[in-house]
Amino acid sequence: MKKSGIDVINILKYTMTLTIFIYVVFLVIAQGADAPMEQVAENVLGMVETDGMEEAGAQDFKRYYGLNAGDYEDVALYLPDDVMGVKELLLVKVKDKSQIETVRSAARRRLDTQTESFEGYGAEQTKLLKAALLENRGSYVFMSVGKDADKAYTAFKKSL
Amino acid sequence: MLFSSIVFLFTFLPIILVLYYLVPRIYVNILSSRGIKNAKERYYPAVRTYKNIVVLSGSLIFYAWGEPVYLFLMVFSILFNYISGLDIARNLKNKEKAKRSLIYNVGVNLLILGFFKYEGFLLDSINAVLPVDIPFRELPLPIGISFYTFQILSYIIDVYRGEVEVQKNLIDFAVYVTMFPQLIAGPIVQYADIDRQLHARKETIENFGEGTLFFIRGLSKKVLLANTIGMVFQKVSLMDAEQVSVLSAWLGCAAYTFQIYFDFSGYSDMAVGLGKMLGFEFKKNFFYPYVSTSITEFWRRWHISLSTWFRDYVYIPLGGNRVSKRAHVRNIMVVWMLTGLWHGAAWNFVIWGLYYGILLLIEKYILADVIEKIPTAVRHIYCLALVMIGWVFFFSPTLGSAVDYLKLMVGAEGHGFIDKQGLYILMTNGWMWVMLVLGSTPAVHDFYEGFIYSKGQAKMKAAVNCAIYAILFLLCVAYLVTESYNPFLYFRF
Repeated sequence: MKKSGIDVINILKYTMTLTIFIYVVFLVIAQGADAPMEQVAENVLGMVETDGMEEAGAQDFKRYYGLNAGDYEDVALYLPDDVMGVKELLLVKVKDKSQIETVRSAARRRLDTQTESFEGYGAEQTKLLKAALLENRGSYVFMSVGKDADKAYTAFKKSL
Repeated sequence: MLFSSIVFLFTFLPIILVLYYLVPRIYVNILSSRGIKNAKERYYPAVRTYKNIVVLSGSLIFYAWGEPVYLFLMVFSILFNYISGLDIARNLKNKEKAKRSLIYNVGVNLLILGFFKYEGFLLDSINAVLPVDIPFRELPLPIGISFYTFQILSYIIDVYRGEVEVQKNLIDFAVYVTMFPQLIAGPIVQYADIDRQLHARKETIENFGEGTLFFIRGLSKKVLLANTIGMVFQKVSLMDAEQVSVLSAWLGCAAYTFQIYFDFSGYSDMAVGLGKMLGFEFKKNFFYPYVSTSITEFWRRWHISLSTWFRDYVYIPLGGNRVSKRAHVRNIMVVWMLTGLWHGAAWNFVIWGLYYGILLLIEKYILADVIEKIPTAVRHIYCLALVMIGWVFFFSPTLGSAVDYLKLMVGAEGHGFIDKQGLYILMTNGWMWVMLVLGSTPAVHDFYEGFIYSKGQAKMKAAVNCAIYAILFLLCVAYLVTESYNPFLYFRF
């Protein structure tokens, strides 16, 4: 495909290479794995019903997850506002990637404890706990229990 | 989108199949209504193109479902490689130019794969080894990138070698790269195996039926077996290390051994089944690997498409085994280190790959004569034990935790050999273990097929067959409605 000395194939090939390169640079710039917690939490909470949850503090984080909030860059925790509720949201921004597994393990333990508490008599609660989402992305660990856990996760992914 | 999801089973797949089978028919009907005779035969290439457009559109939607941002990467990659293929093909008479073009293409593809997959691993390792702290932002891994990059490379290299014709039809090439049945977790389809099928395949009711059976079988493996035994593995992995006896550790490892097999081979069966429904024939990816009596045999039966890819595009070009012993050892270790790295950007995967390289060399150069004389039962145990130890490196998040788990398996932590917890895990899942063991051998499948396809009472047997598969499908749907999100293990690669 060479017309009057112009090599169209080579031009297209190098143009595509450049396009891919620009696209990857764009992804790196646009990817906000370090997006601030306020923004991430706001986006996630904007997508889910907050009824049935209340904001919790560092003490609750220690009590229910066995972790010190001070060890992490930022923590946002929403716990059930009723003893029969299971709706819960946890967002942790770690200081160091090695902390991710610790947070994930603590979240898994929390889910197990909750499941054991409700198993046998709280069918709906058990179902929600079994459908809980626990993921990590960038420097964030995300956990959500509730009917709209999927929506929360989508909002979480989009806000990073 | 997951094959084992309600949205795929009841929305995406039915729509694609209806469109796939109806759209070309509508096109032919329009032509016929305009008085064109033998429209189907005369316009066969156009009909095929319409079918391929349906597959391509469906595949792009399928891919974009969870992570639309990477759809652009895939489209750019398709365009770049399509043009590169044309460039290599036109330069074939000038080997030097063709080689330069090939190296450029392979370099760009590996850079893309390397950037997304290994950037974090590389910089993490540099930061750990050197007195530096290079800041970096790790991007999420584009799903299926390892699989489709290897498919693209197989095409580009085969065009360079002159083993296949260059694909001049952009839609056909895009279908090859994106085909949703095997896009995100294989099997890795080599271009030479599918070249002809892209423009001349035949959809038949028999193939469709067979594909449906394959798909339901794969779905059942994933949903009923892998997910269920996965819960046992999760239970053990969440136990405090102080509570894990030797029995519990081995049972946890056995649970993962079964989970990964039924998960991955289930996915491959579903891919093969979906391919058949669309008229494609993919090669099988698993052949009862856990019945192997040696590691060499295991790797002829496990993830066959990946082993074949490394054999054809790395091992043989390096000289294979037709070189000195020293060079052969190097070739094996290079291939297995790359196999490990392909699976994941972490040191435990590198060690896992090298572990197999060493085992294969030991079997070839030290145990070759001995292994044949060992009773078959012992060889099965030998092979399975080594495979299970290998999986420890695979499922552990870090190299350190793999070593810690291995210590539990050999009782080095002194938590006892058998305890109540271990016995509880064993006994409460008694039937499941039996089903998993039997399902890992050809016995059940051979017996069933032998019965269903034996002579006599064909209608009754066909009805029984349909009923059994319908029940399996309903069971899977019932599980999917109530169970939580359960992605395939191989999605992370």
